[in-house]
Order: sequence, then C-alpha cells, then structure tokens
Amino acid sequence: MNKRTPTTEKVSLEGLSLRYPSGVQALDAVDIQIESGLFGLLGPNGAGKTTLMRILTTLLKPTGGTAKVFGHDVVREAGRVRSMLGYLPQDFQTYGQLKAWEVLDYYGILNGMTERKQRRSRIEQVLSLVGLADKRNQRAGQFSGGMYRRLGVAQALLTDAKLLIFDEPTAGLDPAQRVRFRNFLGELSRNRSVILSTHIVADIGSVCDKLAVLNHGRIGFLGKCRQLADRAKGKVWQMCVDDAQYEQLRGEYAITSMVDTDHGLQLRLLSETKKDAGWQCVEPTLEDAYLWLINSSDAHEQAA
Amino acid sequence: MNKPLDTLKEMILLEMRVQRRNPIWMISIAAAALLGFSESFTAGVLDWPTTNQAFRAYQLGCVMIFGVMTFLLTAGALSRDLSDGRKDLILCRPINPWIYICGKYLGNILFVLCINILFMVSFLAIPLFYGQSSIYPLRPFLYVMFFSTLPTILYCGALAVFLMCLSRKVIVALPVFLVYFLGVALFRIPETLRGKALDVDMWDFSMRLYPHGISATVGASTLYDMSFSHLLQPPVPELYARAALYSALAPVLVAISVLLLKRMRNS
Repeated sequence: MNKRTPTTEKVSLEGLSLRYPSGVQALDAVDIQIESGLFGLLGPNGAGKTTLMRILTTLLKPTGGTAKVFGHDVVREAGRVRSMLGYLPQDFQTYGQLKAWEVLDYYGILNGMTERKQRRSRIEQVLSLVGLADKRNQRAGQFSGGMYRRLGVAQALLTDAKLLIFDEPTAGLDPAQRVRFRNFLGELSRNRSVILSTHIVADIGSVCDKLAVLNHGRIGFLGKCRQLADRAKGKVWQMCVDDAQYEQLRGEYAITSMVDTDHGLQLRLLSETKKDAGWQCVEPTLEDAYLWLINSSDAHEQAA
Repeated sequence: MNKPLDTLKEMILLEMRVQRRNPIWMISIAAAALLGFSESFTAGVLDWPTTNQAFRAYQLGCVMIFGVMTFLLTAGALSRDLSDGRKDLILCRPINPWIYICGKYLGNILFVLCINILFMVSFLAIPLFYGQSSIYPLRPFLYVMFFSTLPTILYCGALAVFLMCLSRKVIVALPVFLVYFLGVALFRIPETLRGKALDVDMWDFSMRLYPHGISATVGASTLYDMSFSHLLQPPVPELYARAALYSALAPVLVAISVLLLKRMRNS
C-alpha cells in the first residue's frame, strides 16, 4: 500500500536524525511513512517523540536525513509545511484573559486568515466541532482541563490542516474526558493525517490503526497495533503468588500488572519461557507488547 | 488584495483590542494623572499662560509614565507569546516574522498614542474647570506629542520588543529597562549638585519645546518652581538630535528583533 501512495499524499521521514550540540543523539536514522488516518507514536519519556514532532512542525532542524510533509521538505519549504499543519503541543497554554473566540481569532490571524468574516465563521465552526460553541464568550482562564484541551484542538483545526500533530493530548484529563477526547480524535482522522504522540498505550490502542514505537531515538517497531501485540505472544504469563515469591519475581521479571486477590497476589509478567508449572500463558495486550519491546530494546542497548 | 498588509492590519487591530483589557494602562494613566493633575491643580494653573505649570505637569506625566507604559505593554504582549509554554504555537505558524513583530510593535504604539490623545484632551480642558471660556492652545501640546512623546514611545516600545526577543522573559527585560530608565533620570543628580542645570532626556526636552513655541505669541513665561527655569530656554540642538536618534534607533531595534525571532524559529 505504501508503494502505491504518492509521496505528495503522505508524511515521509527518511533516515531522520538529530544530534543536539550537547552530543545527545535524540533521533537516529528514523524511517516512517505516515498516510491518512490516525498514527500513534509511542515511547517512554526521552525516547525522541517530542523531538520528532518538533522537526515536523519546523521548530527543529534535523542534522541528518529528510522529512517531507505531503512532498514538502520541512527545512527547505518550511513556510509551506507550516501552512499545512495544526499543532497541539504537550503543554498547551494560551491567554487566560481572552475569551475563547478571541484566542482563536488571534491564532487565525497568525495562520494568515486575513478575511475577517471568513475567519469568524471558521471560528464558530471549530468551536462547534470541539463542543465549545456555548462557551465562546467565556475566558480561557476559566476553562476546565478538558475544555482547555479542546480549545487547543480548536486552534489546531482552524485552517483545516492536512496534518494534525498532537503531543500528549490526553495528559491531565480525567478518564471520561480521555475517552471522549480519543473518540473525537478518531473522527478528526477520517480525512486527514493525525499524529498522536503519547506514552499512554491505551490511547493508541483504542484509536490508532498504525503506530511506531520509539526508544532511544530509534524505531523499535513500526506497523499495526495488532502486529505489535502479536510480538509478545507466548511471553505474557499470569500467576498467583505470595509476598515472598513476589519479592523474588519482582527483581527478575518485568511485572505488567498486580492485583491483590483472595488467593494471593495475581501477577502478570513478561518472560521468554515458562519458569514454573503454575504460570499460565495469557493473550498479550498492547501494553504488554509495548513493555516487552521497550524492555528488550533497553536490554539490547545495555548489552551493546 | 495585499495579504501581508492585511495580516499586519489585523495583527495591529487585534493587539489594540487585546490591550484594552490590560490593567497596566489603567494603572499607568492613573499614575500619570496623579502626577500631572496634582501639580497642575495645585500651583500656577490660574496664571496661564504666563506660568507653564499645567503644561509641565502634562509633559512630565506624558513622557515619563507613557514611556514606561509602552515598555510594559509591549513586553507583556511578547512575553505572552514567547514564554516557554507558548513559543512553539507561535513559531510553527506561517506568519512572516516581520509582520508578527511589526504587528505587535505598531499595535502597542498606536494603542499608547490613542491613550495619549485622551490624556492630552483632559489637560487641554483644564482651563474650563477654572471658569475660563477657552481651552489651552493645541499646538504646544502637539509639539510635545510629535517631538518628544512619539520618539520616547517608539524607542521604549522597540526596546521592549528587542529585550523580549533576546531574553523571552519580562523578569529579565524589565530590570534592564528600569536600570536604563532610572540611569537616565538619576544622571541629573550629581550635575545638579554641582550647580549645573541639565536636561533629562525627553521629558525636559518636551518642556523646553513649549515656551519656545509659545513665546512668540504670549511673551515670556515662568514656572511655579523656578529651579527648573533653564527649561524655559529654547531646546538645545542636542535634544533635537536625541529625539532623532530615538526615532532612528526604534526601527533598528525592531529589525534586530525580527532577526532574533527568525533565529529562534530556525534553531
């Protein structure tokens, strides 16, 4: 499918690298092709997700490789790229003293929307889209965390961007708000490319079809969510143990969940092989697979 | 349709609209009024036009307070955008850095000028409060606005843009400005102690402009506090040069700020 999609219809990263002047290699030869739909970017803190997104948003220049957004190079044609994207940074902050519509009006002008009538009409549209139409005259500083995030999404949607980049968009939201927000992202991705970066695996699993896992600046996995989960097949085990056994296992294996039940501690852990008759092999979740991948990658890094 | 100019116009209008609710200008104008009106109503105002006390009060409030106000408003406007949490949202927009900086700068300058006009009108009307049938003549006040206030606010605004693009933090930019501003004001003290009458930057320049402009029609004028009598002399060429320097430095500082913003964007 990748081969059939022209470069001008996708985001294409080839051998993308970035080394900071301090010597830290934030990205190392990253190759990704992102087409229409929701694409997840997973990785632990410091894996290079934010660096990757800052390159795509033209805020950082790569030190190697190329990044093209719908055929336009992010370095040489930065202006064109900027006009095609909407970005919600991790710590979205805006002008608390301004009303919601005024905040969007400001970002609209910065996006080059000079026709006042069109701009105001678009503001009403996006406010309705994010469910803030009735809050248009409320000051942004009075918004709840969820509303504030939605205002952040609204500013990203102002220009009907072809590429939306969301960095940790569900951070700080309560569970109900997170679910609503995820569904909303799913709706947005129907006719555009949306890159969703997070370290919350459940967010990716519930809305993304494809994902990439970044660790230490390198791609650890690139493919469909199901394929990632399949990688951990036969490596996730569940058992009930007492406190002493738990202490022993804790040092040896990566424990992905622990529930205190009537029969003792019910553990779920990652292991290449079955080490005890009481261990029961279980179906891996995306989270299990992700942790398996990160642990193996870290072990490989340490060995190297 | 000229799109960059349209964007600039929209930026300026938006900046002026945003600043309307900024408490800084309200506090500043209250301070200017306190400084200006208190002096103008307590001494010498009834002797107009031979005593220049009301005018001196006006130009003090005008040039001193409005300079600080311009700095605070402009620096605040940029700090809102260039703080760590918001910088990325601005830098990833397709707007040209020239339009962005000029929009912010001109928006704030025009906003301060509008307030300045209101401030001037309130002073022009002072004679009416004393039962006189006419207001102060407009021309000397306009002299102050064009030769003194305008260079001052152009310069202070540009200094704010420059310091904010350099440091991105009001907490850094403000002390630098205050050191400069107080330095200029306090420069006079040792000279005064040595018995020299020295002009202090733009506000004394504006004072000298007035009698110089009015003496041809109303004759010699005085000041309630004659320790400032040197201000009744015509402005020396150095002061004109300083006003010209301020006006010329402003676009240079704005241009450097644009380069700093471009550098920030292409880090």
